[in-house]
Amino acid sequence: MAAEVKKIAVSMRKRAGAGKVKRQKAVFLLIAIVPSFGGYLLFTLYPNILSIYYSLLNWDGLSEPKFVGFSNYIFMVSDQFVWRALYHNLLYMIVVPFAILIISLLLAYLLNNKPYRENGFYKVLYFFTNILSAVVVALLWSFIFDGSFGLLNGILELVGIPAGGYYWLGDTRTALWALVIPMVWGGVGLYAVIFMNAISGIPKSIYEAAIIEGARPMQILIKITIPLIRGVIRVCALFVVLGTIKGFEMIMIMTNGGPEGSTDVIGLYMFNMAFGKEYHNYGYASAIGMVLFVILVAAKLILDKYYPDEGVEY
Amino acid sequence: MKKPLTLLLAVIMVVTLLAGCSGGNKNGNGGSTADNENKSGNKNSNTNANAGTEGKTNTAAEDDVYPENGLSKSEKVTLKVGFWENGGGRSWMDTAVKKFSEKYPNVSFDITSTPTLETILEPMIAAGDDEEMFDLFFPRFTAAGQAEKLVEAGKIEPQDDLWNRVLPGETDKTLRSVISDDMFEAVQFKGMTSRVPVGGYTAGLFFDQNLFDEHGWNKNPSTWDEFVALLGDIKAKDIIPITFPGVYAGYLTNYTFDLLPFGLAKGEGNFDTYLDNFRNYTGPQLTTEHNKEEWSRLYDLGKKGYFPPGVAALNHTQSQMQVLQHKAALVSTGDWVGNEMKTSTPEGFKWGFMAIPATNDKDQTIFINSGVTDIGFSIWKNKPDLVKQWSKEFILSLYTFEIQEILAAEAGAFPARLDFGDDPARIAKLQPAPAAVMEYATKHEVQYISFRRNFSLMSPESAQSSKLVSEMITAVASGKKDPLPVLEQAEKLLQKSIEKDRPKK
Repeated sequence: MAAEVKKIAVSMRKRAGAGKVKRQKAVFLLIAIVPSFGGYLLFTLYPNILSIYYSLLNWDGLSEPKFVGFSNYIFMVSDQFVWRALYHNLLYMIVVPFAILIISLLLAYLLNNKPYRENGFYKVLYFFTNILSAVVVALLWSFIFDGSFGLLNGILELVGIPAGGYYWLGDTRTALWALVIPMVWGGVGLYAVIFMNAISGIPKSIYEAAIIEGARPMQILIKITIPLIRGVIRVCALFVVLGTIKGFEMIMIMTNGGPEGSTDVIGLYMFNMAFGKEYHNYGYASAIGMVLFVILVAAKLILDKYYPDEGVEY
Repeated sequence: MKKPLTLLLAVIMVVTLLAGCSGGNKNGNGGSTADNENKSGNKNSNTNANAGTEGKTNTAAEDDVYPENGLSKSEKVTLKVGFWENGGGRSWMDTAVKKFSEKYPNVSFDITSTPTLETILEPMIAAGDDEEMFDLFFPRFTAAGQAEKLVEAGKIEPQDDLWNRVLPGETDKTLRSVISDDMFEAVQFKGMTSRVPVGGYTAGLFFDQNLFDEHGWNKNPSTWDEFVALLGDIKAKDIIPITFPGVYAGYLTNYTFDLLPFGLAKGEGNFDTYLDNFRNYTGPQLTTEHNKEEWSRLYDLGKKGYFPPGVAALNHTQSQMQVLQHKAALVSTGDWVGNEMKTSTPEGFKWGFMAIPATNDKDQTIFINSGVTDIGFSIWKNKPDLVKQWSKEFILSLYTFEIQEILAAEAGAFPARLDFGDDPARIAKLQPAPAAVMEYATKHEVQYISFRRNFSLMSPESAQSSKLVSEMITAVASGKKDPLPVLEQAEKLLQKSIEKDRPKK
């Protein structure tokens, strides 16, 4: 009898202890999650939801808002500037992420597999562009592309190609593509470092076995390295694609969408609709923002569908 | 031990989060002298609102007020100021605040000073919290017409009473007596003065006088033909006649060519009608004969190669550098250029100024773009009376010659006082670019004008219209695009927007 009572007491104590642990765990989770989740709700989710409401208004932020239903969306369908900006986004979306991922993968592979003495230095050098703000990168490249005293024309003249004071950002034929270079240059560093770390996690024995089997470097990259860091590439692709669709800071500084709108993108158009020099309508800008949101979600779903997350184990 | 520590950490985290969420309005406060006394000023203000007008019954009460304005010496007030730190910098404002605080020690300032004031001001206004809002601020907004909207919404304190106030340090000169009619007219809207002009800017074509002297070019073309001949002379020397920042192409049209229709209308004797139509969006705006003439002339000059190749890629620093380096002769910009480029200006460079004559009449009135929004404070209406009264006193203090001189010398601005030029010693303190404008005004019949409209457009059609126009500027200036079809297309959109946005009577 006494033994049974003791057993029950021990069990109750255990339960009480377990309850306490559970409570402490709940408190800890609360403390850990509430501040950041609260911040997310307050500063991200709430403004975004509010934007849905704003998109139904004709409102400049100062005067009395006027409810206009879906007319901003209807107008947007016939807005030639929206379609033009989206077309430019599409071009950038095809070229920029592809270039960034390929170049950073190659750089990462080279630095991981070639025992250069200066590898550490190269890593810092590649990452350096990522430390610079978009403004600095944009101004730097504006001067490189300058027709009168730009570095690019200087180099071309040096190798005997007459540049003739050509303004790369001042011509509708070249401005759009000229902007790709700083976008890629500014983006490669971060992804190269991410890929380097991912590649360094692949066991050396796999490479050794491949070399013994006679695999060539390109085969190793395509057949071993890329499949084994597929998950990392997928996440990077997602970041760089979404970033390319949303981003416009560099374009705003370098060309402000010009010449003649040839570099206008949807983010910049939206910004100018909300905070432009000659025009101010949060309602219409929010409607564009909503469309941008749908595009971003669609891009994510497309990536999920055609590049699913298949985990690998080694 | 662990439990109190956990609790303490939790409290710290929550307090930090709340502090982070609530204390966000003090960024950029280089010049703040006090920031937590505002509430006392606000709280006590109603009882002292009429301190200047109520009868004073005893000496003690008289001792407690400033004789020049009747405001209390003992009531502490902090003025919350939104200061736009534009190309003129902020040293003049720091001096003005220092002088005012010395004279009125009960008044202190909480200044938010930033080159991007609009990014703080607009969310503040949209938030609709009168307590948080600046007491006085530069009406600096991202888009045109916003200040007028605030006046329409009844958010701005009228400053009409300041016009008849005698200026500090003067015995009989009222503020109105030293402000030009152009400037006076520019700050009137809906029958009230929303701000008084402390200083202004002028814009047009700036150049190096020495370069012109060296080549014997005409520094003062009085007719359109003389102006075109000048551009031909410059081009003949293989120098770009006119440059501008194509990235912000409005620098060319807003500052120079958009003035032509006013000059043409004046020449034909229908200026008043033209101006009235312009201010009120009456009738066609982009396809008036005057406007089409302006764009046709710009197109003709573009075809002759009078603007830089690749101009669309130039930002304003690059375009101004072209003039400093003598690659271009004239740059379309504002009189802040001297201050903005002073560290890069080579020795022997002497700023000159010209505007574009619209007709071939040598005695014509030449229009110059001018603005007063750059230097002038608006006062938020829903503020305690005492705060508004001290705000007005501060604004009035900016008209002393001491402050106007600093404004001219350090900020490179155009001082608002007409009698500034009465003393040659004061004129000598003007920075070279504004001095050049003043010199130009002595040689020509000039009229300063702003592009103010009586209501602003908000519908997306107006955005499309202005985008069509602004995107064609560099193409027209390169002689690649005929502007007239674009103007027709933009006019249709603009008229739709005017119809939608015109205030209902």
